[in-house]
Amino acid sequence: MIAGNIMDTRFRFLHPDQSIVEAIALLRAAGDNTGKKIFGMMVLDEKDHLIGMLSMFDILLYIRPKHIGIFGAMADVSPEPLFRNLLGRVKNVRVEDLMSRDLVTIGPDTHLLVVMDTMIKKHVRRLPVVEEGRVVGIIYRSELFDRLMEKIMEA
Amino acid sequence: MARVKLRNILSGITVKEAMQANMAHLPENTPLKAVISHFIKYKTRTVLIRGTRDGQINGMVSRTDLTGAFYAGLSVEIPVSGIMTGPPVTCRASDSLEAAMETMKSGRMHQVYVTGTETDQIAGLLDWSDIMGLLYRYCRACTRSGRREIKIQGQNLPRLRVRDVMTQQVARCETYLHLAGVIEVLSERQIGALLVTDTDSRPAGVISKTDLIVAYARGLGLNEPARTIMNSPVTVCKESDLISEAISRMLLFDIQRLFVQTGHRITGVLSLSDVARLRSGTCRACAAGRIAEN
Repeated sequence: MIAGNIMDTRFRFLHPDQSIVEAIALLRAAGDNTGKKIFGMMVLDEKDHLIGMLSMFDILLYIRPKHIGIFGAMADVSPEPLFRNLLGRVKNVRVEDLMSRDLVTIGPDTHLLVVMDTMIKKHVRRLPVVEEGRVVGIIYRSELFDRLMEKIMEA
Repeated sequence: MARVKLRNILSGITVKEAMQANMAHLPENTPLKAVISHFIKYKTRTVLIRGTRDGQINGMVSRTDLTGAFYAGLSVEIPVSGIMTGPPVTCRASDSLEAAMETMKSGRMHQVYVTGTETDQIAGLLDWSDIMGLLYRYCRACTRSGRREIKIQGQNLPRLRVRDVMTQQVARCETYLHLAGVIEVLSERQIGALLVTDTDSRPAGVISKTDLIVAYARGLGLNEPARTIMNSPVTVCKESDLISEAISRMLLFDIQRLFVQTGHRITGVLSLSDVARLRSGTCRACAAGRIAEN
């Protein structure tokens, strides 16, 4: 019942200077290969240090129009041209621009209930597992959920 | 003859209703490169800086400060404490919106930070697009105005068009001007973006301060030509367009200005802050000229 038991050790990661378009392609490819949808990946620098995490949420935040609150409620205004304009802006943006840098990490010996608590408190769906400064794996909330549900069903 | 008191639609509105809440702040040891990433991610014009020891807000940094650093040849790895200014000018959330607009107009500021009603903690930020956004919502919701011209003292009030408000002197440069030159022009003319034209004087693109700081973060040099980083095509409007339509487009696209095109030439520029400074919304339905449409 510790992080080390359920973490994914064969993880992919992003480089800070990749474009968001590349990052999205990599996220989709990772999902296709493992059969589960991946919505975020760790970002490692050239020395393999963990420097950030890029998630679907970070990208959605970027494409959210600043004034959608005003226009969203209006039936006669179509956000379509705006949307196209925004997609054009995405082309110049890199992983390092949108990634979150303030990361919470756990160790391989952290108990799953503590992992769960951390995910709830910090509103994250994935947590990097770090040992002696090196990333050794990643835990996904969905995986945690499956394992805990198994335990509940067995009891 | 009784004098009618013109009711201003801004009466009674406080800063709190218009401002953006929840301001992010960065520690003062953040390298400029990461500060620029923050600007890109949050599409902001300024960011607050907090001290590393006490966590209190002790400064702010704007895109202009970053372009200044670029111009001075500073490395993007230096901590933001090296270039920040401040502390920021603030107003209170409970202040009237009119008072905050006066502060911004007289100080020629594009934004003002907002402190909470009880504490001195910074609670939000107010800029011209927030004000325009609020007025836009109010005007659209107002049931008293009609979608027609109103007669005041027997005269039709004309609806303002772009040509009535635009600035005709448009700062421009050629595609080969180096970034150092672009920064110089923006600084001299105190503007946020520059029109880039090709050899035929046709509009080729626009360079804004954001484009400059992105170039700085990517390691481009000051001698890079404008054409490398300019945005194309130029977002334009016509001289005959209604101001209300132009405002609506600028808010919808989250852009600060529209260039005015007549034929193949750019004949003016209309910025959101100029429009907002010009007319502070006395409601047409309440018998005076109004800026937002209905």
